[in-house]
Amino acid sequence: MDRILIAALVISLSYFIVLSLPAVLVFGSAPRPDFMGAVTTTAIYSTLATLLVLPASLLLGYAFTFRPTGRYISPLILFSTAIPHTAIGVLLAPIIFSLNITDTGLAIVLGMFIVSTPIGVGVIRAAYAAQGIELEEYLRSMGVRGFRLQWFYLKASPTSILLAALLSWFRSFSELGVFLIIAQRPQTVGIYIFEEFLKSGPGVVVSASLLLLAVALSLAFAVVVLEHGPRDS
Amino acid sequence: MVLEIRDLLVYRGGLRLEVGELVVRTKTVLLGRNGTGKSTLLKSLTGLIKPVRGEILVNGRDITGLPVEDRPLGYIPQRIVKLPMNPRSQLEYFSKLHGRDYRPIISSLRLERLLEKRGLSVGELQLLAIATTLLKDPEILLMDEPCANLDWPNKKLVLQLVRTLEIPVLYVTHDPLEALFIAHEVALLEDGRLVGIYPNKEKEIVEEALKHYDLYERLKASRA
Repeated sequence: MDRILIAALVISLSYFIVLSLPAVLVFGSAPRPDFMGAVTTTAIYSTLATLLVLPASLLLGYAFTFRPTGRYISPLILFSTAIPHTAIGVLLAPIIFSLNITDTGLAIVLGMFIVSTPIGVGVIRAAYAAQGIELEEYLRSMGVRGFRLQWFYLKASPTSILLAALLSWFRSFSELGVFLIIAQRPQTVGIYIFEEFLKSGPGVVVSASLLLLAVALSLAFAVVVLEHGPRDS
Repeated sequence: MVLEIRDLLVYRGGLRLEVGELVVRTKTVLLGRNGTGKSTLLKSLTGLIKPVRGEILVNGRDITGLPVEDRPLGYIPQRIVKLPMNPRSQLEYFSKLHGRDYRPIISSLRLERLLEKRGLSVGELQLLAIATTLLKDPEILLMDEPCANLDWPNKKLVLQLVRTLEIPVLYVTHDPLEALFIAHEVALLEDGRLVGIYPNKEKEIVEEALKHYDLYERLKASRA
């Protein structure tokens, strides 16, 4: 395990240095104060979206793994991984416009929810599949029914649930395409970088981008630790 | 207590499973090669697979239409069941669910050593699963190759425990020695059909033979 962690750390740092050095040398400048505002906004909405994604992922992950009908409808939830996110924004636009929530926090949370749910579902599905249908069959034969069955799977998969939350949060935080169509305000970090880049070129946003990269690599490192730490029972 | 299967027909994947009549009163072993429908038959009895036709009776009561959760059967699946709780909590949970005290069962099966243990072996997990299942007070116990993933010492523990059980058991295996060690009757399943039911007259012979082939014990004894 130690070797894997060291390798992950070395790869992360190398990746950061290779990407950051040329950019700093050419464009280097400090991030502007409004950048931190965008980061905070994005982090708050990502957290809200993750709080919605997690229960949905637990329910859908269970249904998609163990219910015959779940296998047939699972492509519906996975569609957002297969098309450009600006297209998802366009598809969501009629709903957002009719609800009159364009450029609101609600639209941001909804967009984050749509793009990160497949990731949460995927992680939970893999965790439940590893536990196997035999656990459910045994529990049912023991008279356990309904949500109690889910409780056993939840209790058996704490690491995977944490991983699902973390990855969903990352995905929410990094979203841009959907927000270009349905919610450019409040300003999320992706929109901030996009707009500043169009306005002033790369000089202003390169340090902000590198800061985000450093944070992302630290969190990715945390995921590696989590994945190679204590296993689900 | 008695389990009766009458005129059962089940389809699963490409398999057609047909059982005209099978009565389980004591320890019946269902013997058959891989893919002959042994697990399918057990799952049909538990209600996990719906049969196309037929009747399943327990003590004369038709349970064919009952939900899985309400059938008076215990079921040990092929894959080792590991619940996300320590042994004592697991037994306490199911004691509460079924309103029974786990201590007499644990004591009668002599499994007290498992209660405080952490990191059970697969064999110990299987013993714990059997003890847990008995908390339901099942009228019949269905066991789907419970020794399939066990090494010999663990297999011996489980087989000996199964022999001590006082309720009828329908035990699935592909291993003739296991069958002859446990069974009062052996039912042979081939290509989804019950070929015949044979009384086991070789229990003692197999018991002796297994003692002879138990190299773990013999080598240990010779070293001492």
